[in-house]
Amino acid sequence: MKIATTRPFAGFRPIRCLALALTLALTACTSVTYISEYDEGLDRGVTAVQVATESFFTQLEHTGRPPSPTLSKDEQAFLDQVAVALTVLQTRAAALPKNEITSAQLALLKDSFSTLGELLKAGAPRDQVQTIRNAFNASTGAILKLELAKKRGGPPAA
Amino acid sequence: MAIDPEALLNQMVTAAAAAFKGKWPDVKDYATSELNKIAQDIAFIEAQRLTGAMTEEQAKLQLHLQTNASKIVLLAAHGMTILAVEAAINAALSVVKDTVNKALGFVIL
Repeated sequence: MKIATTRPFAGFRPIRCLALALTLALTACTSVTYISEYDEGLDRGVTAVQVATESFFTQLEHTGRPPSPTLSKDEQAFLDQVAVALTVLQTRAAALPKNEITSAQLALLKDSFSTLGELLKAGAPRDQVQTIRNAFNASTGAILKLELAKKRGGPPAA
Repeated sequence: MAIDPEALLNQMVTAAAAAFKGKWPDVKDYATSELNKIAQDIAFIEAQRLTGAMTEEQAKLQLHLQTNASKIVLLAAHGMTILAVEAAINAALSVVKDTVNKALGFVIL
């Protein structure tokens, strides 16, 4: 007895199957994304924090800061303003997919501003202000560097 | 013993290069330049501490800031290597786009 063979894929030749598989695979990854897109809001927000920080350190560099257990009204206002801005930016960064690196950077920067508050209380002589300023410049600069690299779609040219 | 900023930088760069492996050349210039500034600042903090111009608490807090800055810089470098991989894969797919579309007889890529 001859067994009737059903060939549900009779219309498909191996080469067609291969082409289909390849097509599906390529369609799924025509353009791969491993890291979030550039976010103009984050760029502007971090730049605003950078400007406010520079202004704060320019002032601090003129006068220095003697040790004191409490922050001045202006110091507290600056740190509060930055903390609010960074919290907003953290929320924004977390809302974007594949943005863990930027989120981690913002968390570290927020921690640095908290440390700055403690450092101001411990005292910041004029000749020590530059190293503190450098740390913040490197930090905000690095966050912006990555964001701008996302805009370009690759690392900066060497 | 005083910290030598150049030796400190070399140690940081060697560790970073090993961690980044083949992707290090993509971010070497940027990361080395930023880590160099941080190494200089760490050496300054130590010098201030040795002369008594900086208290232990100030030194600890300043070092914490420098550590955070280093982490943020290296995270940026890490992100840039991911972008480089992404760009390479997308370029490779773009190269086969015309061939695939032509072979299939319709535009799919």
